[in-house]
Amino acid sequence: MGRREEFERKVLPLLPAAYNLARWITRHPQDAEDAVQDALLRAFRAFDGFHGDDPKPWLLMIVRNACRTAFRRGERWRNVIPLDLAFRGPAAASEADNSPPPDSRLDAPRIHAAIERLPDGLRETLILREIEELSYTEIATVTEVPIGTVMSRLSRARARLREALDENAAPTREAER
Amino acid sequence: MTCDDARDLLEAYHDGELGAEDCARVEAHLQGCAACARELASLRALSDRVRGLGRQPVPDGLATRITSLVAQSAPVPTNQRPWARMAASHLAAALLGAGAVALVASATLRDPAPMNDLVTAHVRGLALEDFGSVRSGNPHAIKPWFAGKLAFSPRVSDLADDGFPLLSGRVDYVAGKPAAALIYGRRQHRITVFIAPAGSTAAAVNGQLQGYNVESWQADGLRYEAVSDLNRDELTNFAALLRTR
Repeated sequence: MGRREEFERKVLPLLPAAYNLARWITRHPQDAEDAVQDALLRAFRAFDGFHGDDPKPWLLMIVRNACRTAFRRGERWRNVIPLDLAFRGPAAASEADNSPPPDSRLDAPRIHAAIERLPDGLRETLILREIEELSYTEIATVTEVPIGTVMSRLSRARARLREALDENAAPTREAER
Repeated sequence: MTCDDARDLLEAYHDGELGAEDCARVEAHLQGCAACARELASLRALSDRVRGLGRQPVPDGLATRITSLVAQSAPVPTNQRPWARMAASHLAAALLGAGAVALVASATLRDPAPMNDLVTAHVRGLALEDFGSVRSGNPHAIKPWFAGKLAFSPRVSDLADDGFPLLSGRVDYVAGKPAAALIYGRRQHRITVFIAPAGSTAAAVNGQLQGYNVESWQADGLRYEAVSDLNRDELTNFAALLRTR
């Protein structure tokens, strides 16, 4: 089997996982799409160097890095904007923030919004564990931190989420920090 | 086992990360401790709610686009990582600067060389972003910068209002002839528009190469070639906008 066929069989089916992670990291549909496209091409070019059994953590690490590279490039580019903004007025600055307000009557939008408000490190760790069902070791690989950090991030993410979703809940030890 | 010990292990227990011995100890504690059992139930309820969200759906067309980009791209041997290719293009640019390299222009229509040149020049420009270029969001600062560097005066338009801000400009060599290169942004993508007197490069080279799209047209005796990793639809839209300026 050729490398391309192998890539298409082993890696392309992971696109839903890749897009989901990118979407949660970037919190922007078009940025996520761009980052995933970039990541899949990078993954294909680097596929000869991949020899493991499960390409999922490997691919998600590339996706995460693509999102961060895109963000850094975006940052550098945003440095150029202010002159332009001076032209178009401050209204242009808030263009990016067009996420719909959460609907308090429904559970899913509330949870979604609460997760979106988590800090980057807690958010990606929670998604990798709960949605992608990665093990602590795999999450450590993807996010390039020690396992202890994965555990404390996961714990803090859950504590914050419980706090945000249920004001009446008894505060956990983590939430008291 | 005390409650404190149990709580330390509870999340790892919930996540299926405990060894058999620790599992048994936690389970024994949970049998007799209602508070810790409630804590575990609450962890499970939270996980269920988060899992209930499912994945955010992949947009239509993304899978097809990636499959076709992959089909056009060849895997790079592991010793040829992007930085190695970038170093090679640095070298090529240095040689170009010294005038030591004469790119051979091909005038035949189906010859891929011109498109190769365009893509190479585009990538090289991005690798050397601050090298011999003028950076400004203001077309009135970029246009005069070209005076004296080129034998023609390229039209410099900003398309920031349409979501394609003009970022920088430089002089480049495409198919052996000097060309103005204007860099536009689209999200994190870059578009390089090469402008040279018409007739100095081969005719229409619209198409796709190594994941880059190319759009070309002629206007007012000048030839325009837009190169980007942006998707075809948006690049076509960009070209249409630029033509109307």
